Amino acid sequence: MRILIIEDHRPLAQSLARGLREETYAVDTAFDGEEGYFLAESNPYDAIILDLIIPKLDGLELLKKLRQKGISTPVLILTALDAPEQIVAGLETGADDYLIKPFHFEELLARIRALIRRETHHKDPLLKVADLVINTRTRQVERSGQEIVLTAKEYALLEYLALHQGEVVSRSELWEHAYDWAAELNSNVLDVHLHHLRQKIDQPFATKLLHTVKGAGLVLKCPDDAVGIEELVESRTESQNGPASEDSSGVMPHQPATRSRRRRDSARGSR
Amino acid sequence: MKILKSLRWKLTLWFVLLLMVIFLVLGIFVYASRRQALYEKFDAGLHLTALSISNFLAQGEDNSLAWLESKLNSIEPATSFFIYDPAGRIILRRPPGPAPEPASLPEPLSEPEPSPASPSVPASLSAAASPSAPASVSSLSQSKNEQSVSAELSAGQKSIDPLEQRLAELLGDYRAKQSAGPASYTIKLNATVKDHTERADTGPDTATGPHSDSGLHSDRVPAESRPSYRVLFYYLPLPPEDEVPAAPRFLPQTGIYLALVKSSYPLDEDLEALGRLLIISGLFLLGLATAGGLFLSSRALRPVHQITTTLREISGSNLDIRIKEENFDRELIPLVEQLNAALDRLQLAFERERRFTADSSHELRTPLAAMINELEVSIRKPRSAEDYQQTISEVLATAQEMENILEDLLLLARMETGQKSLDLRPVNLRHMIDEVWNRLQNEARSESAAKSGRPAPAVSPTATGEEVKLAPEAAAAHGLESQMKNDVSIEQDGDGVAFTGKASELSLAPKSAASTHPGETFPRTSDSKTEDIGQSFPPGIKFYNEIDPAIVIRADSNQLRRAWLNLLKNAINYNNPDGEIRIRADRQDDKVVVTVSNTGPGIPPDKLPFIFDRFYRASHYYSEAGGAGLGLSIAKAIIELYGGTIRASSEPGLTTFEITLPL
Repeated sequence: MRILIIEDHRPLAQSLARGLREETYAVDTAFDGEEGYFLAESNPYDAIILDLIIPKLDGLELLKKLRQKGISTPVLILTALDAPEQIVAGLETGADDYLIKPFHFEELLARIRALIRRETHHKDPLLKVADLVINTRTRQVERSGQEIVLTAKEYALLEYLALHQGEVVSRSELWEHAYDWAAELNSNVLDVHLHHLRQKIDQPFATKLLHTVKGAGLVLKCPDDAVGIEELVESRTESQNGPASEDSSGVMPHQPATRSRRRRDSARGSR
Repeated sequence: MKILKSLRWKLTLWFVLLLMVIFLVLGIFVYASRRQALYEKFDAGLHLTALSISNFLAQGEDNSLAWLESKLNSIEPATSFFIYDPAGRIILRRPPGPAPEPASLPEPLSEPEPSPASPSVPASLSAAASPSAPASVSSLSQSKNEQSVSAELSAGQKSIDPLEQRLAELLGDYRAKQSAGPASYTIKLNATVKDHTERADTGPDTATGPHSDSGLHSDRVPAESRPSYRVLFYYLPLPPEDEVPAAPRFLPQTGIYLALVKSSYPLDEDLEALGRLLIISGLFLLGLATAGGLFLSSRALRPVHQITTTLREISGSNLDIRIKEENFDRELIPLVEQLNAALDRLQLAFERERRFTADSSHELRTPLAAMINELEVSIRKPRSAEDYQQTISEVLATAQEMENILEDLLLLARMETGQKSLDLRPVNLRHMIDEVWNRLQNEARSESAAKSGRPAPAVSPTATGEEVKLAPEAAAAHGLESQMKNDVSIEQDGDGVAFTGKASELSLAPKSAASTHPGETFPRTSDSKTEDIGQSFPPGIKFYNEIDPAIVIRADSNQLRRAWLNLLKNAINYNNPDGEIRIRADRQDDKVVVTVSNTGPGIPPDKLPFIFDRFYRASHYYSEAGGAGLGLSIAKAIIELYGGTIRASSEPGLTTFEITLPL
């Protein structure tokens, strides 16, 4: 899960990023509205944490522009403005949640998790694929009652796949949702992480859950699912052509290389 | 009393009062003129009676009581009368009543005819009159009308005035016996008396001969003299019953004919009716005026109600409601305009307050949130000592940031309540600003050094002194060049610091401005030879101090220095990277006007009114400009503490702060 923090108070932004990263999220930070808008517009974030009083582009303006562009990423407003009319204005502009500073980090985490669940239509914090159970709150993974210890990145990948279980997820999509700008620009990293993940969740067990779809990506699904992999590929191409594409936005996934170039340009421009 | 507090009722009362006064004046006038007309009508009968009697007397031998009576009977309005001859006998009478008595008529008529001789007439009449007089008087009093006594005086050539006087006295006595009577009325009628007297005087000339006159008044008037009659009118109050016989008592002494005449004209009833009419219409008008007054005052107050209704709708959340001017009359437009202007100011104040609340909560909560978050994240799991150290130092930095804000806020609060005492001493303005600028440079230098990881090049006081001395030396070295070029730019490659100077007025003679103020502790040496030293840090921003070194103000240097510091910081932070900052000062009478201008992008006009507000920043952010947006508020508070003023004007490329300080 990848999160964007738009906050001009650097110590706060940095400590938020640190806390979220420890929770396996991939986090990007922007210190002003323009940078924030650029990042939000060009990357498929799973959630955005937005401060309202930020330089260059006001938080509400940014949100309005995002929503007008058709970007439906869940947005949580994190601000010191606590007047009811300000909360109303924030939510009416298109925010999905509103949290007032000072806040508790646990609450922020819970709200972010809820936003992401809501977005992927999983109301239960326990994600289940056959006998694989993922507790999104404690980040514990079990299979057949056996606990599996995963690294943060492995868990992030698994969680994303589990949230989109039964769907084919491309590698670039995985990359974009599990890694932030700080990540190494090496697609091998993803392969290595996926390999380890596969070893941990599939190797000791008889039935495989994580399947590779040639030329398309990966899918996490029950083996007794009536739908075959070929059909899945078809349905995926259909859904991409159709108006209702799976999760965040009509933004097409970008290649990691182009993405990082943009990021650097924008960083240079803003400093 | 409550009614007097109501404008509506007050206006109504005034309106009613005014109308009633007008009505009263008009009513009195109408009543008086009507009464006058009625009295004239009333008098007409009396006048005619008098005229008839005088004519009767003037006819002399031809006079006949029958003629007189017919004459008197024909008078309109009808009169009742008792006529006495000088001997006190009634010669003719008609008691008041609905119709003249037919029985009494033949008697007086028949008697004078057989004996036309003058002495016989009064004699025969007196006999008839005496017994009937009381009866006639009683009927007079019964009518409750005012009794009029017409005294007809006939006199010869001799002067009448004493006689008249005497009569007046006598009648006066008579009148005094009566309890009531309109005294003024008597005087009024005297004028008519005169009129009649004249007519009576001339009348006999034409109508009758002298002998006839002598025949009638043989005992009083000499035959050879021409007869002359004078008619005097006296109005007498209605006598009590049985008093009438007293009237003739004095007649023998005066030799006058007396006629008591009463007009039957219903004068009082008419007047009463008129009075009633006036009172009723007055009451009617009173009601009408009250209703009208209420209506008018309600109408006049309607705009006030409209304004009240509009104002009532206004609350904190919809301050943009305004009273519509076009709905009001010309006289109310200034009021409406003023109310709207007051609402504008109120809205602005509300806006300012709201902004302050939002800004202060943002400025204070955000660092607090950062601290809490930092600690919460770090406590979630065990960490290494370095991690904790990192966390603690970050929390500390944020706490210091908060402390600065709180200190600034407290300073502002203390200055606003006037708790800060001033330590006023003479201060050289130019030197003070140079000092502030040097401090800013040192701060910037150490900051950039800290950022780049290198040690600060010049932070110790001694180093500062050297640094500052460097500039005049360099300027002196280039002095001759500067005189010619007028603009000089000195680039020194010392740790990336650039001194860019502009020397517009170079003089080699030592300036002793600073040395005249020994109290001033100042790192610059007193033999500074340059007028303007442009120094810059960060590189690119040029600073021109164009203040006359002779300007000395009385100030608390610590406080004022802070104001300049904040103003210059502001000028740096909102300037272009290669902009200019220029300070100049002009002495005006008893004050100094200092202008601090920078060539930054400028402040948008819609933000200009708020820049001195606490926490207000033309754009809110921590990263670049630094500070919490309190700098200009503090500068303003300090300057106002000195009784000075500060205002800002801005256009793209030039933002100017104008500070006025008392000397």
